[in-house]
Amino acid sequence: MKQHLRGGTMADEAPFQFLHNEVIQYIYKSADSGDTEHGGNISTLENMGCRVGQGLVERLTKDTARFKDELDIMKFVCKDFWTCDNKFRLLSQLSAGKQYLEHAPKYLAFSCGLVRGALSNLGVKSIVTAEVSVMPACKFQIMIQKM
Amino acid sequence: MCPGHQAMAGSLMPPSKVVSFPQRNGPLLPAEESEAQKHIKQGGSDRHLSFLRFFPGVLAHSQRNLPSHEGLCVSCLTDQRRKANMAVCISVIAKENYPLYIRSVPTQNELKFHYTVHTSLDVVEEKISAVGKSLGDQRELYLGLLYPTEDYKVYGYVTNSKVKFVIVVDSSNTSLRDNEIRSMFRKLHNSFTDVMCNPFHTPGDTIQSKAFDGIVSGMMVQAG
Repeated sequence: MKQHLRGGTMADEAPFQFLHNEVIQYIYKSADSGDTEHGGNISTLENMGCRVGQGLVERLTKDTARFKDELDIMKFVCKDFWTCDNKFRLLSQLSAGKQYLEHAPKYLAFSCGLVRGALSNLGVKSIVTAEVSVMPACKFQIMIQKM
Repeated sequence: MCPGHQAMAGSLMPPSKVVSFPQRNGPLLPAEESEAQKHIKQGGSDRHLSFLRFFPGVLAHSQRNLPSHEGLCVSCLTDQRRKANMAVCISVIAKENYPLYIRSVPTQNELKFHYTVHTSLDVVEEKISAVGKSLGDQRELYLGLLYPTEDYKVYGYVTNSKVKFVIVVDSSNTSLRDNEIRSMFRKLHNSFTDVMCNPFHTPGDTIQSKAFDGIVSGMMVQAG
């Protein structure tokens, strides 16, 4: 997704990856000194991603045609918003197998929020979860709530 | 060279020759300053003074007799033309149909603009939900003329995030063309996107951004 946005050099993604990792560290560190529960951190990250997703989708859909229905929205999200490959870039730096598997959810929370925010700004209420069995591949599951 | 100058140059000079006005920054020479003041006393707006200070060559040009333009200088002409491309009321409406931003020209009855915008929402909904029924439906964001009243014309635009922009324009403004309205909506959309990306702005709040206010003021009829 980030490659699609910037037109694809590795140098563009590195700053975001570093920032993302540091944000995760920061949230966990400040949670340790306070007394927030462990689960609260993941939702903080997800909410951040949500807000970013809303802004991002606003910018990306500025020039596209109007979406007629939900199918159009999902097509947009899967094709233009997300790149299709088996290497999730935010995870590929962590490991190439099963090591550190228990830390993976933290790194995926932001991206889950991103997709949720993008969908909610387009009018689709959803819940996005992610599963990792073997890094760096991961599976995102989007559950849409029908009104 | 401003478009006004180009138009004037075209009527006076052969096409191959380009009139270039000396552009120098800095204060006008005293003689030029008094000419400018005289021009303003004759009815030019005092906004022209700063314009003329930046492009002193315009002053020289405006001394010539230009009967086709009723003796108006370039800056007066552009000003007149600019006033014609103005909206009377601009509003941004959220997905849930409450106003995020509404600004109109200060008149004695501003509520009527609010009412006009509110009633135009029905027309917007109709246009959005017309799936494949209309012939020329290109799935565009620009919705076009929503409905004309006897005094005003109302134009609409919807984004993919279902945020609606409504522009109300005076009916007597016949010089306002469709692509000018489109470009106004384009500017609004760009500015709105910037507001959305502002981390200090929560989606769903009214728009407080000064930059957005500036863009909107640039498109509204100036008072006086």
